[in-house]
Amino acid sequence: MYSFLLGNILISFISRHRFWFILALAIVITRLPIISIPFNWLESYFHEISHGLAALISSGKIVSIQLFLNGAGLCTTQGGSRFLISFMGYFGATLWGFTIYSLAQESKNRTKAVTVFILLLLSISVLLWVRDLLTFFIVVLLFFIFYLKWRYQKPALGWILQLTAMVVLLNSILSPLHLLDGRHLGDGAALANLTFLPEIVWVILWSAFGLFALYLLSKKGKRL
Amino acid sequence: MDISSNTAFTSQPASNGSAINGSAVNNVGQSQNTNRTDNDVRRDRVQNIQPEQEQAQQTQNSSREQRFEANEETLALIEEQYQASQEQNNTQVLTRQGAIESNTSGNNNSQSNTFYDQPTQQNNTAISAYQGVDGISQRESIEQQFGVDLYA
Repeated sequence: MYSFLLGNILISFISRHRFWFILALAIVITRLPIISIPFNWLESYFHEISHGLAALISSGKIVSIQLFLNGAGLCTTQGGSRFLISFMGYFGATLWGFTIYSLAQESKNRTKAVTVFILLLLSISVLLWVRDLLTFFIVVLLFFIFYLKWRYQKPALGWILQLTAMVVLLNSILSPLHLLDGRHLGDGAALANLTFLPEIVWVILWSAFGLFALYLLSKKGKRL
Repeated sequence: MDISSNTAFTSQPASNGSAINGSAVNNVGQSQNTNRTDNDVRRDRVQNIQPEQEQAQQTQNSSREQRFEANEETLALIEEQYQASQEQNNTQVLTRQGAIESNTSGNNNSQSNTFYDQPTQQNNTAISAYQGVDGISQRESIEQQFGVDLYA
């Protein structure tokens, strides 16, 4: 009886502080050496697909998307707005993390819809934009991870999606800081060349957007 | 090279042409002297003259042999000096041409100061960095030609 009460108290506590519990769990996952690898791939995929979607929105086209084992990625586009495409990489990853987390806690149907949408996006990427075996392997693996989540873990699907979204969001806050290495390479350097604003300005802007998204989710926190 | 061949030539009495020739001359001279027993004065004079000439030749040959034999050591020294002079000539050529690599002799420490034209590592780094910048511009031009953009 005491264990039953203790369990209920624990569940109630976790549900009330769901956001902070998921945030703490996401921080731990990003520090784990092997378990964090698929999450790095997922964040990289959302980063590159954000570049690609920005190219499509600005009347350009995606030539190819490449993912690497160390979590790096490359998106080749043709045409479109270079400013928008360069900016949407890190900002797009923040948007993906925020959107997936928000929709996953709305209702079970919306959670399923988000999962199916991600599966469709991964399938389209493989069919149209993946050009090498390594990227194919990584994207197919991500597809299977989401498929298994959707097929066999329905009761906890919302939690799992929110945890995934939180890891993506955390990476979108921390990964722009890696651009401050003095080499003047990457999206920050491209925007600095286009706008004559220093690279650090864009790095701070991306990290600030990520922290703001995190703040909004903490205010929004609901029970499942 | 000639000196070395000569030293080898002289150091082996069996293959020493001058020694063999000298001994052959000696033998021939001796055989001639022993064979002339019933000759007249002219022949004796001639014989006397000929042995004298032959003796002179013999002495010359022996002196030559002695000179060759005595100068083996000096020839060895000359050979060493020749090799050293060849090395010096090579180093002088390198310094004129401003080459970087040196001979593989064991005494480079004393000759390292002569490579005035050798570029420093700092200069090499600067050159490679300049060439790398040129490569970046080429990549950008290729990107512009093909009309694609790369985003990491």
